Amino acid sequence: MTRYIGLLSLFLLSIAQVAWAPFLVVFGWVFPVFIVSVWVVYPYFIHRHLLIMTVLGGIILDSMGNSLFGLHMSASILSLLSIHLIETYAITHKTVARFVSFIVSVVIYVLITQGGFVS
Amino acid sequence: MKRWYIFSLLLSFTLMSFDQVIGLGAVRTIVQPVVEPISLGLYTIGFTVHDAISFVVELPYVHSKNMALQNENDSMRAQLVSQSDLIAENRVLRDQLSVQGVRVSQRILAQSVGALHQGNDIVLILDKGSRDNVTVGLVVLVGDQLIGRITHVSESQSYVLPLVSVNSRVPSYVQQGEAIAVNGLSIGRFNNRIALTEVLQEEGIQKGDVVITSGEGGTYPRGLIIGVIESVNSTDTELFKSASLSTSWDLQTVRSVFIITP
Repeated sequence: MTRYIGLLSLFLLSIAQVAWAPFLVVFGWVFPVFIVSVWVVYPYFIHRHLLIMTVLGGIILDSMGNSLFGLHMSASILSLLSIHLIETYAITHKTVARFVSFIVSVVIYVLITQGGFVS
Repeated sequence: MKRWYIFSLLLSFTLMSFDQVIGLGAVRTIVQPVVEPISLGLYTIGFTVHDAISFVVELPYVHSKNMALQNENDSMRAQLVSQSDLIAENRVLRDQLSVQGVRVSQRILAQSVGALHQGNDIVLILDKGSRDNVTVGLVVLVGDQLIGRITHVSESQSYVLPLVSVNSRVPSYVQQGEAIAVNGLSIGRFNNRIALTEVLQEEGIQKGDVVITSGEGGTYPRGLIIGVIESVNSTDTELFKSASLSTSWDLQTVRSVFIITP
């Protein structure tokens, strides 16, 4: 049950990223709440479920925006992939892996969604 | 697991290709009406929380702010009295010269449902789209102050490039007296403030001056209020001086806006 509530929250947070954007602007860019929440729940969920929710969240973000459809989706998937690779294979120290995966996933997401890949 | 990643990435690239070639506006048209009420609800929650936090934070300054607003209100009332005399005089003159009154534009009331990034710009999302006769290029106001213009429209939503956006450029002027007008360019800075630039060093702009759209280029109509000069930044070695503008709105306080149709 907790798992389903968690996944539903993740779904809502993808909408919240757009709805709360005016309150989340930090130095001119919107703090990606959705990816941060994916990073937070990563250790507690079945990876496949998380990937499906990431894809769905990406689709929601793409539907609400006016940039290329699929852009947020691919950015979210690649961010999750980076979290997975860093925490599973790249760094063995758990805390360091968590910190590095946070930075890398946010940077990947921001670069892809805001870095000139917009139609 | 590798297969799942490859499949989902392929799906996203396929969607991007389809959107580039044939456009996936239909998908947005289906999803947006479903997501919009949730987004609006979350926006309202965010707004309420922001209001509550602002109230607690600003509590110590409320008294002094209230006094300043009362003073401003008094001076505004005085201005209003003189303005109403001018309006009456203007009406009499129009009647005598048989000139038609000023054409009043239609206003469409819209509600902000959030914001997102479009490249480096932050873009405001409104809940009115092409089915409400909203088109690209229309200007958006809060009260009498300009917020920005519509840059993209879907069936149920429209997207506003606000003046604070990095790529926002508005030819403008500072009205000083009846005849003197100082030209400049209002630009967005860091997606959260507006600056007046390209003002010649010899021009005497000062704090409290009102900045207005000049209408040059035709993107914005003439005579819309952009903001009030908050501080002037001037260096003798530079050709131009600039100024920071304050507005009665910011992205966190924008809720209901007017879309102005010609």
